[in-house]
Amino acid sequence: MNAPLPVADAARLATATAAEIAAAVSSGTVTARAVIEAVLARIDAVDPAVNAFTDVTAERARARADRIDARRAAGEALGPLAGVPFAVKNLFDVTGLPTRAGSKINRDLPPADRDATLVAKLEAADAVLVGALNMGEYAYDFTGENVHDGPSRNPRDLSRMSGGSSGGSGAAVAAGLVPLALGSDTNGSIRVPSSLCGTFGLKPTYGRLSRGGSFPFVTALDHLGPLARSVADLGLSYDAMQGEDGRDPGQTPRPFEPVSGFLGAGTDGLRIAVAGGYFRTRGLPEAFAAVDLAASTLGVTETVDVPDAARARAAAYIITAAEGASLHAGRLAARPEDFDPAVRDRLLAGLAIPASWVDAAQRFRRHFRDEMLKLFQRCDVLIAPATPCRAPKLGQKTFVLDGEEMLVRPNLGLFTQPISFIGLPVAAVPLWVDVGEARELPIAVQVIAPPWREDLALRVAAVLERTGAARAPVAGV
Amino acid sequence: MPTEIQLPKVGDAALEKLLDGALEAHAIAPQPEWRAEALNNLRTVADAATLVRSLDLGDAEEPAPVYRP
Repeated sequence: MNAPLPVADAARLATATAAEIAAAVSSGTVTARAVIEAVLARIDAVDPAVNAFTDVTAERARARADRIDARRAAGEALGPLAGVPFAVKNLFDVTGLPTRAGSKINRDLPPADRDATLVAKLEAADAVLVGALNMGEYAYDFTGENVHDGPSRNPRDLSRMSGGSSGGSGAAVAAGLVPLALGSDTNGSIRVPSSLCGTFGLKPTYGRLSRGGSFPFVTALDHLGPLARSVADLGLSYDAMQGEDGRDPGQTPRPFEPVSGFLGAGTDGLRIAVAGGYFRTRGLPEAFAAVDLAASTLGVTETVDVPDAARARAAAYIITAAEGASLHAGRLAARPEDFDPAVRDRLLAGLAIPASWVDAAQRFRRHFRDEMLKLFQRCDVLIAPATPCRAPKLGQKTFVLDGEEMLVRPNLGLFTQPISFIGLPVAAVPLWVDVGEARELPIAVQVIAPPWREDLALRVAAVLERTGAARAPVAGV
Repeated sequence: MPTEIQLPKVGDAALEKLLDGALEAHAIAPQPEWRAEALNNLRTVADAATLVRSLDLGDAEEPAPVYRP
């Protein structure tokens, strides 16, 4: 346990973990108002360089913090996230703000009249929303670049990409602007920024957390989840966000299955394997070095071939293009010039996809799920790269993988896409390896578990964190 | 039993017809550079679809989305 949070040290208050803040506010060591003031001051000072925030809800945050402090003063027990500042990708509804979803077009929408379900759940646990975060337009992005709001910059090197599409979420957490942020992940949009910015991230099982009150991208594949600088903070927030919600018709009814009490359970008895085949090609050496470091830290020697991963990625690509295009067809007709060109031209292509291709992809999805479940009879957890490289430079259009020049924008997610395609829970775990270029930057691995076993992914992530192999320090912006 | 089958690459002319027809049906008149980029993207999707469709799953495999009334 770290030393108690010093009330007078604003920088330390602002950059504490969620668990530290909650413990301090609950015990009365620090007020929620002091935490929020420290965080707002840090956002003021640091965010102009990082560009993670598109909206700062300062007055709302102060009012909420004061209510939390008043309840504590009245002797009321506080929730598990007492006074914890958090921010959300700007595709989450926030009362009073138009849900822009990274777009120019959506900011003409009327302000949301209700918070997204996960915002309400975190605040029900006494967390405090401090703002909305930059993102790639309509979430069709892996770079974190945005033509309307400017790119969210990687706090570990401001000349580099944050990753996307939850770029502001990764950047805000890595920069120590908030200990906790929410993102969405359709094909990798939590895991890619986690890898590039060096944060922990959790993409839960498809259907686990409610997407109520969030702007969709591909409802067949959309997930929501947290990014944080510790595994414990992922667990705390994840536990607070579970629960059935009628606002999301895609949610699967599940019992409350908390993980926070099990994060220290270790890996004894777990059968962990490295994902081979597809997951050992088309990456730079640092991507595989990170996997090898995780494997050696965990004592893993087995490698298993993930069957048909390339086809899984292809199928996810088709469903994404078609469903995304269908969602935006009206806007493409009415205001095509107001889209980010890189997004618009992919969506236009999506309008032309025959239904038979989409149906074939959805049929393959069922098949691939069945094959992966067979694989999970032989192992409990898989380790795979999260991204093929560390953070590319802002504006970089291509990279070379296995001798082939490829576009950065669609291919940063080539390792994440086959996994979210079938909705498996994944913890993104940032590692630091002395291989390749830009060695001062992190790169993450995916810790992949069977459906509904977020606990296993987080247990393994916690072991990697405890050994020091994985860490997410505040970036020195 | 899933079976690998050989499928021909979708031709460029077919993709152009698909794209132009779809955009017209959606009342979208693209600028030439938008159309060119969209066509490049459609080529990527078509190649992905060829890969997916080249695994014949027979008739019994259900598509993944399930509507729960």
